[in-house]
Amino acid sequence: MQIYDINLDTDIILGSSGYPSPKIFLNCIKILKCQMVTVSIRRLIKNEDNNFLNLIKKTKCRILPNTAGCLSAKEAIVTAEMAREMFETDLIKLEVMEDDLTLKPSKKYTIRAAEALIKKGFKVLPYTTDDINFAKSLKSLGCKVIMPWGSQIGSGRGLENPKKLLKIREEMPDLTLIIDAGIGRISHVCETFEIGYDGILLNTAISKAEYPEEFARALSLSMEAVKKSIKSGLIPKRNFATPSTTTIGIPFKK
Amino acid sequence: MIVFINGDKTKLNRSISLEKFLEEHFSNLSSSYAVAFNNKFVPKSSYRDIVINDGDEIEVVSAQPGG
Repeated sequence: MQIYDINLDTDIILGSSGYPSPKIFLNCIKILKCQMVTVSIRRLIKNEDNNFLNLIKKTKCRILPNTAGCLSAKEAIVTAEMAREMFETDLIKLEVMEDDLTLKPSKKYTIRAAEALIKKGFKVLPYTTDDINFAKSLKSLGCKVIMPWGSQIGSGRGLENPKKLLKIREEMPDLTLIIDAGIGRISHVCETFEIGYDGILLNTAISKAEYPEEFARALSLSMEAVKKSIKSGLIPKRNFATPSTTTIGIPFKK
Repeated sequence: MIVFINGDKTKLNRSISLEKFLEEHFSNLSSSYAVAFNNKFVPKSSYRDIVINDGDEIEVVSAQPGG
């Protein structure tokens, strides 16, 4: 999967939050052969060691910092600038929410922040809804990757509006499209690739599974399977029945 | 004077540079961190040039798990 000038060998970006233990997190990365992980930016607690960064370094993954929790363009811009200095990366997963309850991306503030960040040299990966106009605005600003939600963050409801997501794919064949939120089951992963998306970003589905490593193994197998099936040349969907058995020589037919 | 560090009110006896302030108030700065001063990002190279005054707001952040 292409993330600006970076070519990842796998089509998955993994969130780093909520795993039962650091060991399980590391095991999931290994199982999925994951090469990019997301991290958040939070207040440093006085005089308390922060071991998380050492854990992330152990993964040898590329870091994709996010602006989770930001409710304004200004907050997101400053957060991105702090992240860039800390991680020495221009990549930023831009999240600007409408509110804390729905965690719905704010169209107005995400676009405003993306515009400012691109001018500052960032490579922006914006989290969006499935609104085609939202995606179009970001594309016109220069975003090469767009990450629409399937459904609300952590909801596990999958792709609630596949037709709208497909419309984005059809209109933007050259962009890297990643489903960023809502994936809870393997069937959601398959659907993501079947509608032509390039990748998935997921966290809760793995970290909060009763056995995260088992889910990671299933995920790995399913990604391999769905991609093989797509390469096999799937039949087109039709709005009418087509008999699979020959219609010549049907007995009793007059 | 009173300043706000990560949202908490903190008393300071004198005006000092941001660099000195961070040294005095965070013993764990070996971790990677970044700073915003009055809601603006401050690059590391500018810490020594900034003098903290009454009412200033300082955010010191680091990496945490996130999705």
